[in-house]
Amino acid sequence: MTARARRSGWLGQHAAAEGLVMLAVLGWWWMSNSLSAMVLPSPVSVLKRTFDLFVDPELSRHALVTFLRVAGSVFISLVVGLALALLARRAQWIDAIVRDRILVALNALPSVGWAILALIWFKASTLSVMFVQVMILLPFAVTNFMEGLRNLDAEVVEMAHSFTRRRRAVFAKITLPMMLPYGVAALRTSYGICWKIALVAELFGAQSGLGQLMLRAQAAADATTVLATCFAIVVLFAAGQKLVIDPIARAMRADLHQP
Amino acid sequence: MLIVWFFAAQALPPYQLPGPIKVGDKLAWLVATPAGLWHVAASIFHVAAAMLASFVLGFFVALLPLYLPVAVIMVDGRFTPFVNSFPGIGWTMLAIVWLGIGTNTVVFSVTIILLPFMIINLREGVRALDRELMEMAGSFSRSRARAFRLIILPSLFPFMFSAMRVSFGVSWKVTLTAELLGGTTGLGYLMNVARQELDTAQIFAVMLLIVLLVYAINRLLFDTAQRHLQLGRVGAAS
Amino acid sequence: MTDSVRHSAPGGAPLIDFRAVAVRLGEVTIFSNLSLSIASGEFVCLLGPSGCGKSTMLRLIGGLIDPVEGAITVAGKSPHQAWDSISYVFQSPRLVPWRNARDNAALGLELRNPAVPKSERQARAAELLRLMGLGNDMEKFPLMLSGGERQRVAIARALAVDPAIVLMDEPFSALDPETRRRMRADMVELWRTARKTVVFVTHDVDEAIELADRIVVFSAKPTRILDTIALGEQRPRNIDEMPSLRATRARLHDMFRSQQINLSGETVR
Repeated sequence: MTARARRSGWLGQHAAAEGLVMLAVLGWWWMSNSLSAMVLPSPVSVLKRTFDLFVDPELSRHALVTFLRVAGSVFISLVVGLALALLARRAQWIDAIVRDRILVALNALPSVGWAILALIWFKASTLSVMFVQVMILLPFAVTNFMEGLRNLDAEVVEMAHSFTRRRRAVFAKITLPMMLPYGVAALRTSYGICWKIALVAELFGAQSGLGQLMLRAQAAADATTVLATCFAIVVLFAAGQKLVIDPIARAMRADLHQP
Repeated sequence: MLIVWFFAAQALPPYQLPGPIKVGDKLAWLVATPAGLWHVAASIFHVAAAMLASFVLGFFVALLPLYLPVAVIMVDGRFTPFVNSFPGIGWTMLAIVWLGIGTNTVVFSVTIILLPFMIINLREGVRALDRELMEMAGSFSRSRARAFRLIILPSLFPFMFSAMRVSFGVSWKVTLTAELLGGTTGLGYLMNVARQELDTAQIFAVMLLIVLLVYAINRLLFDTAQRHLQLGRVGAAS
Repeated sequence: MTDSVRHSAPGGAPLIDFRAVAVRLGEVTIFSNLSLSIASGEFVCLLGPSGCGKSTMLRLIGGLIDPVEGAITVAGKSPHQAWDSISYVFQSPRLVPWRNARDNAALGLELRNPAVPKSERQARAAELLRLMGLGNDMEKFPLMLSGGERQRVAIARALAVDPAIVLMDEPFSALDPETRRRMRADMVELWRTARKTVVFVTHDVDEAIELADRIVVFSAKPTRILDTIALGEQRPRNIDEMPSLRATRARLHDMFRSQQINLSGETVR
């Protein structure tokens, strides 16, 4: 009975959840009927526009550009973050500078501030967008890798040193594999945050991408495209998470658990 | 670092990198003139109002499944992931269309952006509620209101605190964006003006002030509150 | 599986009365046709192996679950109406970490009857804590108390609401043997002053013999009442020094052995 009760609870919960989604869409549709498309477009037209964003060659270019910038920025911030974390391990004073100055400042500085400065420094370009993104992501990457290095098993590293004096071999065979879980954590966090700020970064400092598309749509009072851009972001984020991040995380876990 | 900045600024045009003295001037204008203080106060108001509103809303949403178990997937599987992945700028843009440019837009969009942070933290607290304590309360009283006030609410305090703390850090950054796009007052608005006038010193001053404000409020308000919270748990009679 | 004998209380109108009660959880029958009555002021121990349904008995009395057959009355009322004349002591103390000992002891009263003014709640809690030997630890928080002290606070919390019936669900089983022994002795003292009706669940034979007016012995599943044993001996009782109690102990051990019951829970093969 308890199993059945749990099952019916599960069914009821899904009914309630899906019911809420349907109710929200219905309410949206009903309200959009009495409001102008400039204020609240109908769900059907937004869905169609979202679809266009991926299919229409002129529009899908923006989605692709945004996605590539996110991927690139995540990659760069992971590499630079690892480098900074390794550098900080070299000496106490570098560690202090990285931890107490660079991290504190980067963590506190807002993305819009970077966006405006990037526009002034680099003009409107992909460089400027990725600069903003990397600046925001860097503290998360560095913190994760520093944590990983702090938890590095000193005994295993010592064991490696007993076999070889080649630092590069120790790094490749021991340090890097032990850092993998932290790298995956850094990847996951950076990816989520990068999508959150992707639009802000593209708002001022770009000539293409979904952020620009949204800004132009807003200026043209095209609420349909504004909403479609938002949903496109939700879709792109979820797709990347399910198709790239989760498989990588699983592969890493499987790797580690091999005998 | 200040010295490096000073010499670098000498070498570069001021619209690219303003010197520390110029930024200091702007900073003084922000915190020592009524006009500057007015914008600082507006931003503080935006942050406080949005935090309060999102806390109340988030509290309601997070506790809903406790009293309405059928709503668990609704909250954890649909509503929270949706508001969490919907881009913040999108809310601001929509708010501009719906509410026009002004305080309403800023507070509305920041409230919704903070909502998932509040819900995620408070849900954590609801999930951590001690079933044994709830049963104990039930054995003494059939009054749900009293069990809520005496058991559930105090159990949630640490999670409410971390919800506030996390959202506070986020709130400044998103308030700035919302003010910049949809506000007529506040530090974000000043940044937008500075952007159009290429007044880089002003941008530097605003960013610096925000770093200082967040640091100060974290230290004065949250760290102090946390110490009190921990003292209360372990007991003053040690 | 059926009990033809009525296990009735010695004299007087029963305070708690089970008549032909059956309980099922899903497809599993916990017990059927179980009858038992408990008199006012009686200290009854429910003794049996773990998982035999002793705690289910307490839940039935407290109105937390309902029987599928039969009837239960508590003070002449249904358990759902009588819940506020009962208080619980659980196996774990279940104190809230944000209140000190005195405020924890007052919490039950605050939950049950907010009309009682704070000063009186505190006074009653303090008095009971003194009775429990915690007079000097009122300001201490649960984290600073030992396991035995925490359970004493929980007992004070239960008594502070001045219940007619105290239900105790293996309250000492999580404590170390020495603390458990002291808690039993204090329990006897407390019961002699407070004179509550106590229903005390245990799987410890000696604990039951030291405390009870009457021991109700349960079998393993499917559960039935094997026997009820009345104990008239003066308290405090020292089992090793009283031949009659030693005989009872031997009788109980024999009973469980013949039923192939190991009191730690599993059936002996």
